[in-house]
Amino acid sequence: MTAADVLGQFLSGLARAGVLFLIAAGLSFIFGVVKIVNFAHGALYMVGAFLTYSFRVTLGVPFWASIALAAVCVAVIGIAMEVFLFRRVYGRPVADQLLLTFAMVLIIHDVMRLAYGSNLRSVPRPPLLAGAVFLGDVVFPSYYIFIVLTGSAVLLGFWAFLHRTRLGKTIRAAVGNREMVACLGKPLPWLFTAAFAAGVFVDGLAGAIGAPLGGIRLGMDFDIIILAFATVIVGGFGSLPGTALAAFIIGEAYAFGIWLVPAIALSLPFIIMAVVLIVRPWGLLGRSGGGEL
Amino acid sequence: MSSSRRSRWWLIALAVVALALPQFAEPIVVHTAIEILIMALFAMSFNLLFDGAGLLTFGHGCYYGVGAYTAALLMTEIGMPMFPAMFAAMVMGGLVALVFGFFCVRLTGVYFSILTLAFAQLMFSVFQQSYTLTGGDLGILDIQPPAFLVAVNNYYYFTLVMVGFSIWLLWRILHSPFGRTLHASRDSVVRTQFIGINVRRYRLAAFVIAGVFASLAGALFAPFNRAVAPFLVSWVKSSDPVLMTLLGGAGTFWGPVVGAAVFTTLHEVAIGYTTYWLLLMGSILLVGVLFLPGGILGFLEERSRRVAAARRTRMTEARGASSNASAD
Amino acid sequence: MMRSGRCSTALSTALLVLASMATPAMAQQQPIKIGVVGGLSGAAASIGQAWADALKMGADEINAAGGILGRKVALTVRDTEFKVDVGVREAKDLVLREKVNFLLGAISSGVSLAISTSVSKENKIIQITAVANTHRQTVELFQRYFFQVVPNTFMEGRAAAMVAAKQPSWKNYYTVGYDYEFGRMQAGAFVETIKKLRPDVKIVGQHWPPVGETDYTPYITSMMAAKPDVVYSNLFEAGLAAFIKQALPYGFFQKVKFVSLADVSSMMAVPEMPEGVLGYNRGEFYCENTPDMKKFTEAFHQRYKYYPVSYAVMGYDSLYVLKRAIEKAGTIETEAVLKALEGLTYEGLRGKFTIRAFDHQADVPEYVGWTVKDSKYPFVILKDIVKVPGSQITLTEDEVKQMRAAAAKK
Repeated sequence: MTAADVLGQFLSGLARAGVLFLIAAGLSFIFGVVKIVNFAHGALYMVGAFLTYSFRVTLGVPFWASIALAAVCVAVIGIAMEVFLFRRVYGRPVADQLLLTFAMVLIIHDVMRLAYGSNLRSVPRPPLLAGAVFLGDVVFPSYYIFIVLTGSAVLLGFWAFLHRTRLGKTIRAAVGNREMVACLGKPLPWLFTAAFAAGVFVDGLAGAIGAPLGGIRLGMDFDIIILAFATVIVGGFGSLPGTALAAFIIGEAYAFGIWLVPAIALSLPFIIMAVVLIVRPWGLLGRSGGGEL
Repeated sequence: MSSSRRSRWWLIALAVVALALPQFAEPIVVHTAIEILIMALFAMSFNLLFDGAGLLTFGHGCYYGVGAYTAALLMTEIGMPMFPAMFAAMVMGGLVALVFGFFCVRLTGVYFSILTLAFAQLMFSVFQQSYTLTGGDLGILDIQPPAFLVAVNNYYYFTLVMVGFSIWLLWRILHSPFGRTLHASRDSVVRTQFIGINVRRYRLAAFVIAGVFASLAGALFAPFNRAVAPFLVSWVKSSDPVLMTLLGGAGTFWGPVVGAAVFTTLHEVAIGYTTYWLLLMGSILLVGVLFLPGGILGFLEERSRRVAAARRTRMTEARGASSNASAD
Repeated sequence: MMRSGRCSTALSTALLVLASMATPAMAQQQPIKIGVVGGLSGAAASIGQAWADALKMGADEINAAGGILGRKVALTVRDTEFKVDVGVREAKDLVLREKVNFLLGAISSGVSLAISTSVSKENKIIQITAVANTHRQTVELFQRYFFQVVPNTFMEGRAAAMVAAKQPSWKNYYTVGYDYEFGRMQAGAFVETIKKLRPDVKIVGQHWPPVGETDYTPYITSMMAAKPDVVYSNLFEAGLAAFIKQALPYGFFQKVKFVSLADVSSMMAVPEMPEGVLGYNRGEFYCENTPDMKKFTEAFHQRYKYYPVSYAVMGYDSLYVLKRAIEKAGTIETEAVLKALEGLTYEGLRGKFTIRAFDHQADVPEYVGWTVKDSKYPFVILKDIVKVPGSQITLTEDEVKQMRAAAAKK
């Protein structure tokens, strides 16, 4: 066990954290603003991955355009979902909202199965990012660097959006006091739609970028949604830096877990989540006073 | 009044059909009926928490799975006969619910729900990965019920008795002072606390009771299915009682049973015709949430209430009494 | 205006009708109904699809030639999604509602084992597997209605180990296998055999990623940190594709030797498969040059537009073996067909094999070779193939008895 090995494991955990952050960021943002717990988040991630495959492999669109297109398409789907479905259940009990998003999970899953069949799909990495960077003895695949950079860019972008743009500041105000913002004449429903679209766009982007990592398959939505929830809980609902921190913790726990304690490595995210919920329910960087939906 | 008398007739009709079922139905139908009964118990235990105490748990499959696995392990590893194994399974489920519940009831709302999910996922990982103890991904196979219960019809009657008795118990619990206090805590925590009730303790008690009944359902399932596997503890399984209860109508006592029957029957019928059963289920759920907010029974009850109200209004008007009420 | 009472009555009547909708299967002169139950979606989707496709083709061929005992063959295909609970439910439905006469399946060893114990044994229905190959099905958890025409995990692990043992410089091994029945049993067999053949071999570590894992990086980096000579893997399809893709940038295949499942299904999913890997499979179309295999390959390719993988080959064999047994028994009655299957010798696409009476395992071969690119095909194939005959790798009757006794004592 050399320093190079530790660094290698650390870097692979960082890559995992990057993807997880992208997914969880959208989820956390949507919950923070629109107060909807979106079970279909994982399904939309999967749609982003499949669409990337269609653009890149079936239609031959260049890689960067494929990613962008896929993310935009997912955002459009998300907007449609919000306008036609979620708006009907805003006033209703949480259970109804959860059921609705769960229904979307089932529907999206089978629609993808209808469209793509059940075989594995694979998207190749662009030649620019197919190799690796060598730092002495340590190898870091270029694609993972790309993911980490993108994750950081998203984090900064969101922060800038929320704190520097007018729309962003309005959204933050709406989170704090909806009635006031409505009194000021801001169109609340469209604010929510915009926020929802942003969160879903990042989700689709995560799917698009994550596609060349491994394989695209049905069921990746179920797998990832649980981890995304864990990440958001640990970081704190509605806190983006918290989500980043949590993604980092969970990613590294996974990487070192596989190496050192493989028997419980897969349970680690849930152990962490349970501990956080017991000790500090609003998450590591969330706002205290949370507890009611 | 007439509504409760009608309910009693319904109950009697249901009981007659239930008792006579194996005489006229195919084995596959009896098979499905057993599944419905087990799921109904599972969903009822969930609803004790949801409608009874206002607690939405996403991890109820945990106790179902613990019950199933405990019974399975005891019966296969040490050859314990089924009845003591089932009893032990209920005790085990109650204990696990006590431990997990202790932490869960300190939270409320969505945090409570997600902590229940976290614990269930933990349990799932444990079952999935303890290859030596729980058989890992494959689970435990070849669980044999006692000889007199091997025949499907016999197992059906046995399950009918157990589930029927449990549902009766749940009815008594919900209509007892304990149950009423639970409802009070659901409707307003602050007011309930003001009259000196330790809400947390009541919730924990409800959590444990729900866990015990869920693990009974699991313990009934294990010898019936002859095998158990980690999926019984998965969050997909945990979502089953949620879907069934909401589909049938969470605000009613019998809602979970109706939901379980509809859900299971739909599934059995659907798998014969299409592999896209998730699409079917999702669409039905979507329609249900958007247009049937109280679930099937809730919808039916609301309609019957409106019909009765309209009838009363017409009768009042016919008698010529002045009234501001308009026909619905 | 309908009273709500009647509405509820209608609803519950409808429910009862739906519930009793299990009408008895079509009576009178029936085709021979065969239930095909396997993972057509999920972690081994294309494997399952290929197997099912071959069965459909085989059934059509048989029907065109007059059927079996003058009766048509009717396949009912169900997807288990590679999940144990779904598999058992589908198999039960096939047996109880569709009333099939025989079961073919499954793909996942876990599913197959569960179906064997919960459905085949309970309902006394013959089950023949051509893909799921855990040896526990024929050894410790054997039940007499179960038959296997695929080399079991013991045979497969053994064959790979026999060839690996011949490489003198291969001393330190790391294994990576899926954390479920097949992965565990097969890796276990490999380890047991290689240690017996080469006492100087050391197992420096074992990884058990879950089925369906898509991110293998932490496994890859930790394996490389242990600096083994060889990594032995039984990953397949989607998982193998992800593993290879993620390992390549690390220069993995320059640093260690790799032993891997090299079936065409998995190779089709991994265009980047490196050459020089010690690969093993159960009988791909290019492994045999017989006229039968050529004819089968052409017919399959023409009908389905892709090459028949080993799972299609074995599926085809399994259907024809069943046909031969039914004809020999002269009836589809279970006990008679069972007796006919035991000791049956059959000339299949992989050559001649016999179904042993004491464990119902066919002594089929395993093929081991080295991966190489071939301009004829869009996937990597094997060269310098060693066809390890079944007789060399099957468990002897004594070994089987011993293992069964040890399990019973537990």
